[in-house]
Amino acid sequence: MRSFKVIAALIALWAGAADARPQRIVSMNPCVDAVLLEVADAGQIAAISHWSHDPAGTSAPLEQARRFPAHGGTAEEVIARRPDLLFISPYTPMATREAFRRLGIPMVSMGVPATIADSLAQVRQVADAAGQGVRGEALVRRIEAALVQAHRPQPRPALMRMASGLVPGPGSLSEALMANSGLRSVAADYGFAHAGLLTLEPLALKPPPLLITDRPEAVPPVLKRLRVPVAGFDRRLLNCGGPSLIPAAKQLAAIRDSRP
Amino acid sequence: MRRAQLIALLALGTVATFLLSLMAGKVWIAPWGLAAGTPEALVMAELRLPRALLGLVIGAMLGASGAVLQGYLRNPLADAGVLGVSANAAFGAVLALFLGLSATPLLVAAFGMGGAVAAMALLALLAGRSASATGFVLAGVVLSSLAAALTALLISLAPNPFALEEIVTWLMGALTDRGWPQLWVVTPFAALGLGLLMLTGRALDALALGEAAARSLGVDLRATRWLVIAGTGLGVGAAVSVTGVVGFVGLIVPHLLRPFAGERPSALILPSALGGAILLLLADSLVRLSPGAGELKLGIAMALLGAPFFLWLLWRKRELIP
Repeated sequence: MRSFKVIAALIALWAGAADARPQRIVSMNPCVDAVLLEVADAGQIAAISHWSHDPAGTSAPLEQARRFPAHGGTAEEVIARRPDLLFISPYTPMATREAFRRLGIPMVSMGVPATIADSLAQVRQVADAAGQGVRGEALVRRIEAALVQAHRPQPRPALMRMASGLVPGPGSLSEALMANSGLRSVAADYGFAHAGLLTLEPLALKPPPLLITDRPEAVPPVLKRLRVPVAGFDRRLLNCGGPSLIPAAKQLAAIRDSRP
Repeated sequence: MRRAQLIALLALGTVATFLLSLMAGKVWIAPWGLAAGTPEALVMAELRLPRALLGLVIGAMLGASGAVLQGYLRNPLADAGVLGVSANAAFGAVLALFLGLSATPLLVAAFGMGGAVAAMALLALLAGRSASATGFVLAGVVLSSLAAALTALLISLAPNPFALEEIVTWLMGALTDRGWPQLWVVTPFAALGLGLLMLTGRALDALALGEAAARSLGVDLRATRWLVIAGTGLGVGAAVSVTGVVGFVGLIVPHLLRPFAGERPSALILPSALGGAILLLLADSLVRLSPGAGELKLGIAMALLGAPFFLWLLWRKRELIP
């Protein structure tokens, strides 16, 4: 009978823990949205950020994100949903944050991860806060497995530059991911120590061995004339890390394996 | 200095700065003796040549419009930037970007010209009603703020961060990475605008004596007004739709050249066009030489150069503003 009591107590403890999970989670952070959609129960999510409903901005699969209501980012909309856990970002305005603090809404702030390790730590933090540590750990394993599968030795030099001219540059999550997938970024050769805009002139004077861009159809004529090899890449996969690391690593590895 | 000498000197300066603009950059390239097919030759043919030509056309347009506006309004503060014509052109172009028309440069230019012509027409109507220089500049400042507010409204309504990035970067004003397609869009309208402005010379000289005197000299004031509206609107509108707002050229250049060209407004138009081209080409060469991986924005550089210079000018000759 004694063992039965212990089991009963354990069940009660487990049920209590389940109850203690936040049940009305609101996220103002598009990167957290993507993690929540993977680890939280559908009933736990009260609202996600409007970025995740935007086909051009979302870091999560659009159809999955559209199953949940989105809010526009004002304090009013968020408070109206009476969240018991609120994810914000370092870019949430001070006044908005202050309004939540006065109302005693529990807040967790998450930045944009700059390394793969940061991103994995963030997945765990979000999952733990949502009371879904086990699923968080499983998601981390899945990401790690995808990274191992995408890993390529013998790096191939390449430059990632968006159609707007933006180069993620050294120290970015994009470059870390490229390195894992066997692509050595040559951004430093153009004088980049961090993210910045690269104009066409230096690019044309030193054509990169491989150009990775978000809009391969809009490659400027001068680069076409120089016959720079071009590979297309879905820019949305690089905004946040988290679950999007899985398809991102896969795409980059496919670029690495493509014929020169 | 005789007028012919001045124009010859300015023309020489234009050729020299044009060559400088072809050569200057993070990498200096001599425009002669380039082997076909090398990256240097391609950069010269596809990027530097159209960019330098754009600088020439747009600089000339902005300089001439400044000289004509200052003459027409008999106001040394007049300039497409100060009077809100550029800001309204920018609003028109941003509206086109907002509506997703950025793939059709001709439409963006049409929106820009629409904004510029509307602003010019409104100002000219106001000028017809009250001749007060202060009132007129005030109206321009109000128009400029309105356009800035409407532009900010569109930015705040931008559908996604990438559209926002595109609009904000464009607004800062630059010739960076512009090529032949942009040149083909601007040149016909700038040439037409410049031509229309050149036609106003005689009327401007008469207007310097006052409206009544001009009328008695047989000047058709209505026709003059429409020439100024259409010339400035088309030229500045097309220029802004390609480069974003690049200010100060139209304001500074006529002031710089007036001591040499004389007080007659008609004698100032051609020198100001050449001077505007020199200033813009020089500034655009300098921004390409800025240190770091990127480029300084031309609009920002122009303001950094122009504002202190203009203040110094005002300080030195306080009688400039009546």
